[in-house]
Amino acid sequence: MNTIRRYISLGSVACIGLCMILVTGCKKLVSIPDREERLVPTNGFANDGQAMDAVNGILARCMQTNASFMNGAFSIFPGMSADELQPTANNDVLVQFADNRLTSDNTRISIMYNTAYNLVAQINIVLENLNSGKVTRATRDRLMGECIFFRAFINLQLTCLFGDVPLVTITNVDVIAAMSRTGIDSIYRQVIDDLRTADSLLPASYIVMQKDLVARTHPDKWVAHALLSRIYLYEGHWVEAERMATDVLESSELGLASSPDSVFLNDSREILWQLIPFDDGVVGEADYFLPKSTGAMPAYIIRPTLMNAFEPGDRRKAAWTGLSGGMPYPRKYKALMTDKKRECNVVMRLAEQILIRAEARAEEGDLPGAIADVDVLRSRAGLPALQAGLSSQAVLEAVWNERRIELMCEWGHRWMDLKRTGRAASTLGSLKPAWRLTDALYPLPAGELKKDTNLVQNTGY
Amino acid sequence: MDQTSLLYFPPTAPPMRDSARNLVYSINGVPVNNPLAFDQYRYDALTRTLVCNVQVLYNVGRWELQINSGYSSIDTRESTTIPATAQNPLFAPADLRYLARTNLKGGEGSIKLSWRWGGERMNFSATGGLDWYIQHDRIEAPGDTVGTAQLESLSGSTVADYRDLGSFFSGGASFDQRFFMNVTGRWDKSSRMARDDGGFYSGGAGLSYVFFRPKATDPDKTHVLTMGRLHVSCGITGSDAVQNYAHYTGWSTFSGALPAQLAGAFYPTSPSNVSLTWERIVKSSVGLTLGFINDQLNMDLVYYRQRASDLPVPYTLPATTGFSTGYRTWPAVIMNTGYELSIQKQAKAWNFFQWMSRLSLSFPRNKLQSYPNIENSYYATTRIVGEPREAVRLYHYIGVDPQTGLFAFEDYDGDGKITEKDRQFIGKPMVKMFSAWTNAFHTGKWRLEMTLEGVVQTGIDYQRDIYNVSPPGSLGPGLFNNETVKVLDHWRKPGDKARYQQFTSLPTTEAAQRIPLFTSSSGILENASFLRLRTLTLSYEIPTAFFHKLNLKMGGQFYIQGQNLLTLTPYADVDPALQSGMVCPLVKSYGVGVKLNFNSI
Repeated sequence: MNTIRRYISLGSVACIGLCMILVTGCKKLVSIPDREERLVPTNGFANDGQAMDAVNGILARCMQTNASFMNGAFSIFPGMSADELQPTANNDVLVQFADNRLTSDNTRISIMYNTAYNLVAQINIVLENLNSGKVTRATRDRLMGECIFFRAFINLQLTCLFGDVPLVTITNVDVIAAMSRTGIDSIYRQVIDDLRTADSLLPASYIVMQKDLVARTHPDKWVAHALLSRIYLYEGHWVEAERMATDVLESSELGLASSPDSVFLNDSREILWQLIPFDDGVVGEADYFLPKSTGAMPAYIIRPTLMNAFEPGDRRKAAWTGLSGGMPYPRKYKALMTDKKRECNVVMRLAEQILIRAEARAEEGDLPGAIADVDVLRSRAGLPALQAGLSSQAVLEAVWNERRIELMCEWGHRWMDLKRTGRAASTLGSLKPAWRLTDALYPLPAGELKKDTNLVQNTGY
Repeated sequence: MDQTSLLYFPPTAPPMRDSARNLVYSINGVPVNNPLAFDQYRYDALTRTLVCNVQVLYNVGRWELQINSGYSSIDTRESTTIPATAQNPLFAPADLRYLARTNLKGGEGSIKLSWRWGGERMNFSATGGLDWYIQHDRIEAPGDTVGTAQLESLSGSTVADYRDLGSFFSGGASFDQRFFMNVTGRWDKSSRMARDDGGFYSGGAGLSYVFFRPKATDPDKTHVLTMGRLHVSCGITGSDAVQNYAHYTGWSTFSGALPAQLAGAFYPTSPSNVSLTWERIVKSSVGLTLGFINDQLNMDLVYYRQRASDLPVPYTLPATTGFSTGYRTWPAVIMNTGYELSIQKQAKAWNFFQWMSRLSLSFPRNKLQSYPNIENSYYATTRIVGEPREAVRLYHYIGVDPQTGLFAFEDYDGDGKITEKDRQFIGKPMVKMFSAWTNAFHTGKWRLEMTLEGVVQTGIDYQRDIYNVSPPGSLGPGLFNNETVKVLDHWRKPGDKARYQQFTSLPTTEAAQRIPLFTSSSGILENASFLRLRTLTLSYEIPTAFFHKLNLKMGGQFYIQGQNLLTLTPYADVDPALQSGMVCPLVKSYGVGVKLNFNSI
């Protein structure tokens, strides 16, 4: 009897011991420790500094490779698709853009598409880790505002190129991998929602940086406002577009640069948002547009129609175009190796806001207001004011023309303007024999249709 | 360092050393790689290993408590030095040194409580407990080469943590020494799965029945059949063999020079693979064991069936995910079946000569049994439902056309062109049978032991696959390269019956267009079966009297050993087991040695 009791007590002690180990040790034992070497803990950012470094990672990745998506690609490729640029090299990948006969295996198309979605994934992952991590409220709000703004910006740029695209706001790769394309209206709704959220989260002034550092590299409230005014313009919501642009224009932080020459210097007050280049401090546009040696043939030349569109006496012609080997090329950015660090990639600037308001006013019938806005830019360019008493169509055309010159070879504005104002067919059809209506949208990369069978190609490809 | 790729070095290369015995790096101004440079590389490695184990046993009546605990650490420091003289002086080289440090630490343990009860005719046992495993690996290597000036600087470390916790029980019973049965169950939780993963339950049961055993009453009588046993088993196991941290986003800092303002920035490099789960394998087997002639000859025959599902595999992701590859649970079922036969002849106690022999044969088969929606998956063109995993769709190669001198293929759809639609031949480069046969002969102090390995398989003919590396004839003038002499058997004029098509140097010719078709055709499949004498050992036992004379309490033997001495194969290329022209084939090696056992008597 005694021995049995002893066995039982021994057994029960062992059992209780095992159970205790099971309950207390189990969870801890199989949860792997968070180690410094792995950068980010498995449950989100560890502190404010880490969160800021992760957001800086987005800015850095925007600029890591020239002309991949954010750093020059829009100025170059849609610039060629529109009536601005022509490549001088007989490289079919580039000529396809200039001739509007893109094929779905064009490598530049897949680089842009891939880079954009790399950024979207990065943004969504950073957002997720901001949500779950140990970041203080104020920092988290600001960083989330920035991320949501970046996502809105990239989605808007993507639709400018491809039309309907998969709209990714989640991080589950299995779900994303089977996504189909989202209609452009839904994307615009999401972009507007995102921008309103960003607008409410972002501070009304740029984060104070140390004196020797470049400012305006992180978006603030007015940048979100500015993108909202742009998308309202694209959608034809003139009242909202005007209101947003006015808010931005009235901000005390911003002001037009005094002359076209100083617009793109990184201390210009005209800049809303700029990105710092990698390595040697040369932005993508400078790298691709500027001739590599004196007198060399530029890689991309400005089409004669654009050169001829400058009015006589326009200071911007001398400031923003150059001649090399007898050929005109864009030189809004001038720094190639020398004088580096004075230029960043200007993503958004105040002049566009003036033109958005001018166009919105013209559409609303406020012709004197529209003319006044256009004249601000004309006077900076050394041009006489517009005549009073122009017809509303004439004012609208004056605004479009001003956009064409002021925003030339900059972020593909011309390509988007031609498409949204219905002038693509008339302008490009006469210039390029291969033009068809379906060329307004780029093809999705052919390889992507195989990897995600729910994707459908754009018509015409 | 494997130098096999030097097979492609031009046979007519000028001397590799100049008159002053220095390595030559340029011939008439053309830079060349000097293969002798490897000779000057210096590789040092220091490995420290620590292994310790503790086992504690308590035995109280029918109860036994067993506690095991172990720890191991392997610390390796390696350095590879490449002196400037082993590099092309054109690039003004400096001495280079690569450092690497690897630290692998592991700990494991278990607590087990067992109980047993036995009677005349019945025996029961039960065991239950917990076991765990912890692994922490740290690998450091410099991101770039470091000059000798910064020898100790190491950057870039990879850390991997793995933890696994399991609890288990097993129960067994036997009756009459004829029926044996056991039941097992396990629950495992692994750090490689999602945090909210509930763990994996596995288990199995086995039954075995001895249907024949002679009565123990007349032990001197020789029986033809001395034992007969049937056994069946079934069960489920799981596997967590996926990368560590696969469930979590991977991050990295930037390798290029970041703008100072963004110093410290980092970005995600791999996705969190949220759908990864345990691989599930349902196993069953039936076996028969027979013993003949007083158990001198034993035979074991097993038929097994393993149904694997929920396989974690790398998956090509669309760009929209932001990553190129992820891991995902594969919605497929793979069935592995096969026979295994092993025959063993025990040493027969003739006084002067003994022979022991063991033959094992296995016939593995597998089949991709189902893959829902495969036609819409990324594997639509590469995997075939109903065929083995290794099966590939190929063009059907029918030889070199004697008239055109071009590789010819079967035109399945009869449209006169060879297109993707003609890729209908199903090739199966895979193993059909493995076998190993070990024999040992023993007479007096001498012992001869040999192991033969036999494999029946279809493989890739590397010599034909050379078309993937550098198609014969395609190399421009001024470039150095070598080709196998086999390509000399190529078509030259109409009527020629050749193994290879006409040479071509332009990428646009019809012949050049056929090259990618050829390398994706049945033409590169070949019988790679082989029979190999894996090891042969002859040993001699040193008489104990010899040691006694020296007043030593020990024993010993001399031996001569050879490995991979002989290979019989129809395969025409380097090595039928490796099937590559870039990897060093298994080397023939010989050894002579003495083995001493101290205190063995």
